[in-house]
Amino acid sequence: MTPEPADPLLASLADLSGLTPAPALDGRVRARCHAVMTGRRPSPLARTARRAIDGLLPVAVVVYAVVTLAEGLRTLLGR
Amino acid sequence: MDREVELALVERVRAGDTAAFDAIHAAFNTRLYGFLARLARSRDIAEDLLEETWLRFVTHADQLRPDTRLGPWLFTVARNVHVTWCRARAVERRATATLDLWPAESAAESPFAQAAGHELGRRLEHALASVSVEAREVLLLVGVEGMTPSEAAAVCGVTPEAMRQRLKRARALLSERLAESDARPVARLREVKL
Repeated sequence: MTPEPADPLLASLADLSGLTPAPALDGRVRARCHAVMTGRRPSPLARTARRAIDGLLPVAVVVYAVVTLAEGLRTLLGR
Repeated sequence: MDREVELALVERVRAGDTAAFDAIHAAFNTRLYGFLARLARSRDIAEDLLEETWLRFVTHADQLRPDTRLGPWLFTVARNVHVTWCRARAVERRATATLDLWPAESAAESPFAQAAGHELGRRLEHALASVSVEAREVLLLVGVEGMTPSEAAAVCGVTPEAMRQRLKRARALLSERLAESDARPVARLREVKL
């Protein structure tokens, strides 16, 4: 598929006058967005803790699986 | 926007850098507003939809992929916000009496008419406003924003082939409306009043 760069009708649309929002809106939107961004951003300590927990989770799962398996075998062989 | 600059901005905004957000806002805000204002045919509605678009952007900024292309991403969100608004309005219209739709006799002259200083611009704005919203979004994305049909297809969530067909139909419709306006004086554009 190829665009139609030579199409004069579509090209004329690109020349339409630009519309601009009210400056007051810009300030309000940016302030609200900044608040959302800074509000959701965790502290460096929280980030480190979350990474540590994320890293430990697979290890904990493996250890739990090994212990459960060993316990199962011990029970089975102990009979 | 240069691709390397864009990738750097994506990385920074993912990390919560408000200065990066300001740079992205400065680069896309007017384009998004023009897209939404022509799509909704109202400045007031466009301002609400624009605000919602940016709020969705920052809410999901930390989930952006590192290779995100900001333009298509933002226009997709803006389009989705408009679709949601249209659905809500449809529900409202079914529940209430008929609304004063375009063109409105009592409304003030549209900003589009004011902005379209020359005759061709005025006719184009009028023709663009008179086609269906599906045709209008295609013409805005490809004609005004200069997206390729493939990019516009991604924004609209359709296949490139379907987009090519939609563009063809939309172009024919716009051409038809322009020809009609050649035959009679162009009425003043009015904003939709809800």
